[in-house]
Amino acid sequence: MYASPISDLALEHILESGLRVLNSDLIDDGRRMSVLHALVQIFTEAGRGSAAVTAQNHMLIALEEPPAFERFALFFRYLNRTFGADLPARLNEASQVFTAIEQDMDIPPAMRNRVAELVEGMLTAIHRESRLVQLAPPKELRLSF
Amino acid sequence: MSANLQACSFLLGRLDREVAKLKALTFPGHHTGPRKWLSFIAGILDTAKSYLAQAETQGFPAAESERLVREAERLGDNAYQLLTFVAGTDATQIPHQVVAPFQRWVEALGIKETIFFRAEHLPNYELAWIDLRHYGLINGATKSLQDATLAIDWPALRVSVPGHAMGLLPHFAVVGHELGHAIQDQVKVDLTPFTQGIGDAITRAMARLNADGVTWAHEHSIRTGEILKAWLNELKSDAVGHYLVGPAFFFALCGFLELSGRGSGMSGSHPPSDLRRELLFQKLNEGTPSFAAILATKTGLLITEDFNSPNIARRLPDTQMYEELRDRIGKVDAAVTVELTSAIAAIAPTIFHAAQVHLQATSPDLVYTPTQLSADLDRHLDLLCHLVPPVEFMNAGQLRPATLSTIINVGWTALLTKVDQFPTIRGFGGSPPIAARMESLHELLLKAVELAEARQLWEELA
Repeated sequence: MYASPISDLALEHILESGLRVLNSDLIDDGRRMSVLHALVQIFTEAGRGSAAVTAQNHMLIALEEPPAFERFALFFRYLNRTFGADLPARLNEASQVFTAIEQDMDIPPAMRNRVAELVEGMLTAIHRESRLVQLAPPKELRLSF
Repeated sequence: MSANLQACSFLLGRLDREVAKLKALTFPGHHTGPRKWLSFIAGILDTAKSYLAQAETQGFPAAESERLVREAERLGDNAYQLLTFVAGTDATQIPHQVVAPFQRWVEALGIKETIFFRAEHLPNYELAWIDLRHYGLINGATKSLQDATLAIDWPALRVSVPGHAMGLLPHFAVVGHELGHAIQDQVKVDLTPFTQGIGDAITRAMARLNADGVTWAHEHSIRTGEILKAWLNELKSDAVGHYLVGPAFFFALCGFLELSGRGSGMSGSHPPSDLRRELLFQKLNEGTPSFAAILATKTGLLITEDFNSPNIARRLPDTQMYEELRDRIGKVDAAVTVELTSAIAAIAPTIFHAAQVHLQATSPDLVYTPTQLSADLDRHLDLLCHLVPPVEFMNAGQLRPATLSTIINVGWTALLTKVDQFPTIRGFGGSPPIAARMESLHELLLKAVELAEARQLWEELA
């Protein structure tokens, strides 16, 4: 169980810092490395979990790799509508790109842009959902006949 | 100072005081989990306060300042919600005697995560786990938040047990199941032989949904994965409960389900209760001698599958079950759960075997056996009927402390077969005689747990 993304300020800050890294904005070195480490972990797990909808024996992924499956299910919930069947490939691409940046390798701009689009999509979806949070309905306990 | 900044500052101050007050409480068994959690919350509050201080800096851009206040509000809200995680962990809520022995189970099972136990006024046993390890990466996280995040072994685990009226000691055997959830990912089950059966169940669910106007989509595959994972984990945890406490787990789980709902229990999170009961009953009758045979020989107790849970609803034929379930849990969950039932029943023996292999390899001393039950009943049952708690026993000329599993199994056996032979009890005025005797048994077992733990500690220190 991960915290709901709409209440998870850390996830939001990590994604925002990830965008700054992708845009080559100035960012403190220590934070850059910590954030990249977290992003590689998040997107690698999600990418691995995405086999739950692509692999032949997809159900076994959920059972054999629960954390990866849960991570993918989270991204799927927020991004399926935007990226549809491309989502698994996009998550795997994000994992590759952040790993490459962590290792100081060059990344083609088009790849950087696609990953930035994915990260922005996640942030937008989180912000949209947080605007729609409902108050808990009043509780009543009485016999209904 | 803006009104919302002022209000947020007030909230954070109040939360600070509440956390300080909670830190001053006594936590049973002196377990460190709640204190680590409270330090984590204090770190979040420190970070939120640093946001407010920054927002008030003269000349700070207005938009940035508003954002900082907004995020401080969110952190305050987070902290408030995270406080609920430790509610009921203090010594007024949970019987303090049980925490240290539970902690021994935790350590013997190799559970490294930060854990705490709490009681709540609900008919509920639960293991909640929460993973906020990335909180140290919040912008401008204070050192207190970073240190507190590092001090917790994530995910943090919280075991809930019912408080007071439903907290009869023998029922705490269900905690074995909850700790099973903590090690569920370590219990490896080879599912390859069952791929076909699972695939067939999904095909049947698709057909059932199709006939009911629902076209299968990716989100249904994901949901099926979630359900399958949840069911597998329930059975793994039942298996761990069985191997830790043997018949006491069967009695406790079935007794609890009988008292707390009696429904079929079938949902996206749990397989049908009658299937779980059936599997546990089979395990009690396995081997020579079996647990059931020992209980029959030594006490005359003849266990049947539903002897302490006659009112748990049994499964209906598939189509009828689907129709009953779909309005309650939705068509997709209803179709998937109905069709998965036979597949999961086929996997169950492999799951139980995997749990046994895991426990034998990692913590063989924890596995409760029919031989142990036989010895425990010989040593303690008659004495317990004379109000002597099962604290210790003589082994090769040395006194050894009774284990929690021993105490709970002797307790259950007394509860089911001997409680009417207990002497007349004083001090429970107004209760019916049997209830008073059961209350007395509960007190004796708590005393046994406390004294056995004291002896264990004494031996370790010596």
